[in-house]
Amino acid sequence: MSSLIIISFVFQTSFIGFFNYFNVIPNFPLILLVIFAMLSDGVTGGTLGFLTGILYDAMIFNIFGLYTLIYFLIGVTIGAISDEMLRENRIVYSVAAGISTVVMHLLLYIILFFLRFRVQSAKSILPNILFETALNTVLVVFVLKFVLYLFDKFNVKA
Amino acid sequence: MNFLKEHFKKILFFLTVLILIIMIGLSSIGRLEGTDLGFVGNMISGFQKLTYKTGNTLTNSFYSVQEIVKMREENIMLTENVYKLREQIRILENIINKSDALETEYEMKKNLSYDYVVGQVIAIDDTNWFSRFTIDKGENDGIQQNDIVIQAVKTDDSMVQIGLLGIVTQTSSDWSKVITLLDESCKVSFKDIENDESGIVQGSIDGNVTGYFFNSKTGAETGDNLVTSGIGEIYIPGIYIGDVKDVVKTTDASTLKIIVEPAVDFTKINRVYVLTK
Repeated sequence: MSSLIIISFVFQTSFIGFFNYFNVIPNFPLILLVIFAMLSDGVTGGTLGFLTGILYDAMIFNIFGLYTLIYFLIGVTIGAISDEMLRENRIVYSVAAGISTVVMHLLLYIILFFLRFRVQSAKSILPNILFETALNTVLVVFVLKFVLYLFDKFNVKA
Repeated sequence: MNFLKEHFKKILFFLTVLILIIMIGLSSIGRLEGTDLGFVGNMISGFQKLTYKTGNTLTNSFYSVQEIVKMREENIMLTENVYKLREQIRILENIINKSDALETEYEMKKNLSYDYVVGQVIAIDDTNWFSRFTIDKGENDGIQQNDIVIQAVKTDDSMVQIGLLGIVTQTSSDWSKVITLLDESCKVSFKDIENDESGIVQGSIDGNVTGYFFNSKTGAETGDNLVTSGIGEIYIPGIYIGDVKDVVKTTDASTLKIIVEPAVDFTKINRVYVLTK
């Protein structure tokens, strides 16, 4: 799981950006985090969220802890409530991915507000966020298929 | 003891959140260093460099096929532009040569050279909130925090600057983080070449670069060229930032707001020049 998260991070930050035609690209590390957290529990979800966030904070951003906190919270929450959800239902993954994307941006907004960023201009990026949410909601189903195929092929138990 | 055992997960969760919040606070005021993941970070940046190059080659080959048709027309247009610019240079040199002071300044600026390191972008920020990227050169190549990053072209005898890209904010041994002019946390003091007035430009979350003149009565106009003023001693003076796109009247009588069109196309950054100190 960790290897897939690291690979997706590398591709997300260095390759996927070239296909950024409408200022929007899907967030593959987040999609994978949602899938892995759904397939496991709060501890695994939190650990993977921590790993995803720390990669962003260490390799790209300057405010250390910002993405680590956000991805950690998302991983823990989804992992903790995944037991009560129907894991076989693909729609649940779509809903979780959609909500996670919105929550990620909402948390960013709140933290940046407290860090005195001029977040009032964030309304102009709202359409991009909605488009990204829609993309993640759809793509999570295909990524899930791919992950399950890999798990099956390499005998990985979630 | 039983309480700890029973609530271990909850305690761990709240402790992690608390530590992360403290880390966010400390790093936002620049009190947290050494967060570059060391060897692991260098390994990841190596992979990023490889995948970025692959992506770049793929898109470049796609665009080059698409643009073959346009190239002939562009060539004619560029040749005409070269003639126009040559004429402009002749006129300007004629004016400069008539004044000793101007000639001295022209010679000085012409011969001004910077020590620089050429870096390759290896990772870009993929969110809408920030405008940042990572390059494949770091402390081992002589790059330090607060070094200026510009886009430029290298000619046979010199390096010609296109415009300001941003500033190095964090360095590791083999890679560095850069925030661009479009980023909310990037503030640059500028000078308007046309009227010699100064001010500050700043990026924003919506991707626009806005700024203000210290003197509200300045006669700034659309199309005015802005360069770094050097105030604050971070940015070297004379680096081209961009043009005034619009002058906005505000209720604040003490300053004059402007919208800036940056000189650089931030969607097509690949090779960058870091001016080292």
